[in-house]
Amino acid sequence: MAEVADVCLILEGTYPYVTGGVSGWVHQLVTALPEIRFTLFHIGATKGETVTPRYTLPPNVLGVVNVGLHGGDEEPAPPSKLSAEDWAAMKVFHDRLRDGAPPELGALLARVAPAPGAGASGHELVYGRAAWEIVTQLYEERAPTVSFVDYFWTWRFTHLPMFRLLHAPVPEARVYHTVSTGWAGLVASLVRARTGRPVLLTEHGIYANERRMEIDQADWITVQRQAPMTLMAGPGFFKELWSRLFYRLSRITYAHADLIVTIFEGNRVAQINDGADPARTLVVPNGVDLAAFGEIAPNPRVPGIFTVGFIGRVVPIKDVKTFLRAIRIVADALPGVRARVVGPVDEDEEYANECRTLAATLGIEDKIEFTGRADVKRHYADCDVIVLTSLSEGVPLVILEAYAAGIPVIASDVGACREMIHGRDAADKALGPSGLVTGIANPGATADAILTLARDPGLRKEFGEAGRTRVRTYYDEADLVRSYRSIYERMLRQAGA
Amino acid sequence: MAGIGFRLKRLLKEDAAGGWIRAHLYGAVVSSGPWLLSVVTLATLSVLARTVVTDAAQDLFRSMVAYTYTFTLITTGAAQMVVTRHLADELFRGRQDALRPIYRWSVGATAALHLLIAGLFYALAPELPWTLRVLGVALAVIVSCTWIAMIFVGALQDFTSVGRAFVVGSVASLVSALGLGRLAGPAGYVAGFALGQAAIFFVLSARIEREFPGESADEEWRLLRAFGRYPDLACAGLLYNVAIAIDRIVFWFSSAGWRITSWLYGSIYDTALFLAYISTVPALAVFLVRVETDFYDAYRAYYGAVIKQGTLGQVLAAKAAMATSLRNSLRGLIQIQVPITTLLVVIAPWMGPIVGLERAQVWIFRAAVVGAALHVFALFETIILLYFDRRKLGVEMAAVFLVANGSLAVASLWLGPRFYGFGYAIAALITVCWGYRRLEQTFRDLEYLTFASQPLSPKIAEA
Repeated sequence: MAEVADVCLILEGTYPYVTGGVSGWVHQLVTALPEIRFTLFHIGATKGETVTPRYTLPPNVLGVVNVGLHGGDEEPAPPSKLSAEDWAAMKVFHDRLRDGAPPELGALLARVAPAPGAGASGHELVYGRAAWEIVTQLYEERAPTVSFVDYFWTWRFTHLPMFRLLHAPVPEARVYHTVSTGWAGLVASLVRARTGRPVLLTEHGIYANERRMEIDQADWITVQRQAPMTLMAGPGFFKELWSRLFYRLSRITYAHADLIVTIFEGNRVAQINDGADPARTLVVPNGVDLAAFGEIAPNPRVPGIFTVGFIGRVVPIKDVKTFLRAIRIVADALPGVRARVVGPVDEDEEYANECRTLAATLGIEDKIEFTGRADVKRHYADCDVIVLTSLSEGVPLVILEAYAAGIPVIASDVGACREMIHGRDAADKALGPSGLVTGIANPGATADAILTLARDPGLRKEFGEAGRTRVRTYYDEADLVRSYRSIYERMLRQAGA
Repeated sequence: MAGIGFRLKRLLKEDAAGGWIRAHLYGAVVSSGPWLLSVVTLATLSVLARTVVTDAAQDLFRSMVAYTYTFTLITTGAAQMVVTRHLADELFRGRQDALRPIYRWSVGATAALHLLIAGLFYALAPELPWTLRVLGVALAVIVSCTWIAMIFVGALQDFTSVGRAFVVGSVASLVSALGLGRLAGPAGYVAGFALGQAAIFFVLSARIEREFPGESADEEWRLLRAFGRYPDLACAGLLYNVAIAIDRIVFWFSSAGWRITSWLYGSIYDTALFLAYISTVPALAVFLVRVETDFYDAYRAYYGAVIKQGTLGQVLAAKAAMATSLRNSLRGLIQIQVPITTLLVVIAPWMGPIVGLERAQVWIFRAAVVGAALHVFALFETIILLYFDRRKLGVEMAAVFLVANGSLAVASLWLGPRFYGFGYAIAALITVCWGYRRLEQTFRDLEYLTFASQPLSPKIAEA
């Protein structure tokens, strides 16, 4: 690429190939900053796999480089001329990681893989004698009682992506911006350690935590048999090994990022717990298009009817069933209650059908409307309150949209919901609450909250106003863009100097 | 964990290892059997036939048989190991039905090939009477097909009936050669011998066909693809068979050899060497038994520790046990082979005249007896290397033996008759040492080879 980009975005299984929250965010960012020239480095699952972009890239995106983590074999390559000390440095690196010391990636890379294509090849790292010595040494030191064949293959599967990324052709840019830790974070760290170019990390969800949840549910990881006389290896040993890998990748990324951004305070605390330097952390919340949602005018209300909105996909993680049970309880005290579930029902059809059946069983099918995929703005105009019963969230866009439209919110205590409702810092808290927080999977608490707001129009108005002020002050999409523009500008200056 | 190797798994699966591992072993031991038996038959014939045919006819006959055995081993060499492995692979996949078609195709192809090669050879030997030329071609076809049959006999693992086939066939060869020789002279003599050999082949074929009655289409293509998959085995088989013949070939065409007729040569080296081979029979038997009982269990225990999720400590302990077992097998081999070899070296001058060795051949015989003992050790080293699927080292062993045996044969010719046979002995010694080093390295690195050489993605040998 002749033209050197200002910012190289390092992406893992997301924009521009997969739609979703993070992808939408990236698209929003690159589109809103036309003066910054971006280049994309995308890490996909499978080597050589061709995928079609799901977004139209704006003209300030100069190009996309794709690499795959899995599949295929390593090309045979002549062995490097690394010395025994060079290889010993690898072991030291692992020991430091285990002991929680700052990872000295730069020192290791200078010896083992100073640049993509230089030093030890992927083939040598997978098949080589020296690499094998390190693996057996680590095994003997740390886990001599577990199944070696599983240990060995776990090592291969966890390390192979690293070996591939070690030699990945990352495009040249003045600043690198990784949108997660994990493999993308590793790539950013490699660049930082090799070139000293500034690295920005934006972590939406806590990557290592998300991986841990996946790993806990994975059935492809060997459960270590509990051998008699075994003291250290529990049945979850190999899951633990996988999970630890991702925590360590996060630690490496935190150690190398010049600035660590996340979208709400709770995540920032989690990052610090996982080793991020508090001085380099920053919260930049997601933003909403205030103009679009601010102009929603409430539709005339029918007396005696109270409308509760549930905006979200009908999938288990949103826990629609708790919402339905809450409506059942509300209906006993407030027969005029009406509920709308606005969101696609085709992502998990089995679950959606279960929800319909539940509504019928509860006898509230005449009070519930499943709208399917719909223009949410039209529905906000009808709603008196918006409810979230999710089991997991980051910074839910639906709360921001509701605030912009001046609607109070009831949300389960997950992700950023509490700080979005009660305020993040002193100034934010001074605005007053803009809704009510409930426990997760607690229909009674959700119902109480709905009834509280249904019976108190004054409180609704108060919450709605607080929400409107809060979203304008802290969650303006324009602010998000401004924040990143200034971060980029600062880093580009740093890179230029 | 999808990547846990297909290759590793197959090593453990109950009879899987038995498949190709044992196949190599049986292949080697079993094909030595007929070779030795025919040497015995020839030796007996040369003693008994003195009254039947002239010495010149005897020489011609011996030379024809020697050529047939020597060159058919070379021309079937590449196929032998590949077909052995292909067969074991198919048995591993549970494709018993493939065996009969594979047998028919490989025998058919071998027969056609040797009809062509031997036909060309004897066509260019116009000094021979046409009856002998036709019989020569027939003998080449029969013997080459017998080598192929021996591979499948390995899969039968029914040594009694195989042994019976050979004994009966050899006796038939003897009787009919003597009988027909008396009736029809040299041609009858050769025809009689060939008839006995043909009997062996047909008895074996019948046994194989009875054991594997299945039918399956397109086996010829699968067989051909096996050659593409195991070029190293083809190479090892070919090189090995050239290696064991190269010294005799060198002698034929040297000043120590003589021309019998046309392309057929003989040398004083041949007989001494053939007789020396017989001395290895006890070693072969002992090795077969020891490897079957002791070593094979240790081998399975090792791969068992790997697959059945043992710790590295357990894997290493199993490796040590396997090394001990192998050392014991070798010691057993030495204990039986050294006395036999020593005895033969000592009694050679007295034994010589009885078995038809001339004075000049006694020293050749002595050197060759030592050489044959070492040769057997080298062969076993190769087999053990193949046990661990180190096919490239198998090729290397054959190449070392070939180069050493060929060049030292030339050197011994240059040094003079006193040194004949020492070339072979030293070449075998070099190969044994080479193999020992390779075995040591293989054992030292075994766990590394077992794990780290596994491919990343399970590239299952195409089904």
